[in-house]
Amino acid sequence: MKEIKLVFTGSMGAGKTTAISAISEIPVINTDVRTIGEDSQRKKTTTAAMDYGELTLDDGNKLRLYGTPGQERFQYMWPILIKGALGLIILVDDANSHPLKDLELFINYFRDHINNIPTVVGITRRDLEQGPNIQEYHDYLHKEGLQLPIFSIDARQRENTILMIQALTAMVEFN
Amino acid sequence: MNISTNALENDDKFIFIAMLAMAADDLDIFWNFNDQNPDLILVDIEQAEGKKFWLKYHIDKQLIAFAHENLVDAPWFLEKPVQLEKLKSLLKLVSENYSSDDEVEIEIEIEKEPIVEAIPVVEAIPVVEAIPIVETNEVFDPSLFLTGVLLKSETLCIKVANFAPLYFLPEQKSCFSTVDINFRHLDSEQLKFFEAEISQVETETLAADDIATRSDLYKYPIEGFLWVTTLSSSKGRLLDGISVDETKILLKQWPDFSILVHEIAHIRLAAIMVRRSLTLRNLADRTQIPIETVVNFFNACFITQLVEIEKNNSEILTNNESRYSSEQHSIFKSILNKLT
Repeated sequence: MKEIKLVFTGSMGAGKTTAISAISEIPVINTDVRTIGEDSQRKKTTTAAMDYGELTLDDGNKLRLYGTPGQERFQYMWPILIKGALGLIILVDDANSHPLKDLELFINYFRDHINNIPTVVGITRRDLEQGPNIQEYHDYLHKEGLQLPIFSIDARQRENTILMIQALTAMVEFN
Repeated sequence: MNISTNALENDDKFIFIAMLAMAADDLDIFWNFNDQNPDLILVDIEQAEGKKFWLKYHIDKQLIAFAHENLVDAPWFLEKPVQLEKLKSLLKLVSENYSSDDEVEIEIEIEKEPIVEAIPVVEAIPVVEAIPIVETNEVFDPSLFLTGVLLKSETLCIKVANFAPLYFLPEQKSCFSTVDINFRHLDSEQLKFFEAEISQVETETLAADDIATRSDLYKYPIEGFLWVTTLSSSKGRLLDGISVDETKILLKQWPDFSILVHEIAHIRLAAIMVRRSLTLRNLADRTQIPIETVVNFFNACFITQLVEIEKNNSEILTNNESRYSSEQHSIFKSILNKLT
């Protein structure tokens, strides 16, 4: 059995746990703790170590779905989780106060991995129309020399997570 | 009157030609794109070549400056990117100027190109530096479909047969409808609406305030409508001026498929088109996707301004070595098989 894993990263409250739940065949195992600082106003608990979900593929291999902790104080977990990942999904909460800065944080942190594994960006809570328009996210990535799919997604919708995986698949096929 | 361009980037040029054709209905004078004998020349003064041309000829020739800002104080100026309303206003202004200066000459031009007879837009636009589509002589003319109405950028109530009206507010870049439309799962009735021909479309002027007070409307970004109307009415016909075998195309960025009607073939096309500048024929060959699907996808990307037309023949990606293995691809495919 090989370890096959997809990693979901992104800002706190962006919907990583929800997106994993949408496709996991087991209830997502998470390690929530109370949030501290400004974040506690928005969300009572957040993931401390990781979220974990699973999907058994037809050949018996398990796809492991990992969600990184959102708050920066748990960053020490990020390199552990990303090691050996098949693909990376970055989720950004558009309704957060500085979503472009959030994206920048994750792009900078995972930059080396983005160069080596297919990566897609999902922008959540776009319906609230509080954040930048989608073009501003593209412009930021272009400035960084990156050409990644960016989708406005609802993490609760299973088909949105599937869309991101379809994009990862196509990137691998034609890269 | 004849108009041509100087130093415009290829995609600007194609958009300008398309807009010129769409503006034709609302103008008293027929404007013909003609590189050979132009009365007026649209010059991209932000390009070195265009700047040089402007400095050399702006006194002797009738020029329109094309830029983001009118830094040269040109009497005739068109702001980038080309917008239909601004183009129409400019051409009206130029026409008025011409008719007061040289009425006789204009009358002669009008006799040459009588505007009383509807001139098909496809004939009005000469094919510029391109070879027509190989399979068919038919071209996709957006002005003959609902797409053309949306491209006019007028605040309108749009009605097609018995469908719920669509309220189009270009200043908000949005459409409004009483119907909750899921672009990911359109039914056949909705598709009929989106592929409506212009003869089936009725429009009424609309005040934006009428919409602001209504609480029963769903709001949608205009891109979703431009995309779906183009995708569904193209039917394998390519936009004029583009060649399946000659024109190399690059996608500027991934379309936001989460809000656009799409199929898996479109995602695969996007993945290759953001990386490589290829002709539509090459794309069909490499992906094994039918050319009709490739053409429809290209048209939709073009209308939503997502494509760049490449000037040179080199592929944009210098390193053609794949970073990923076939094993990685087969794992991803098995994940999708499980999920879908």
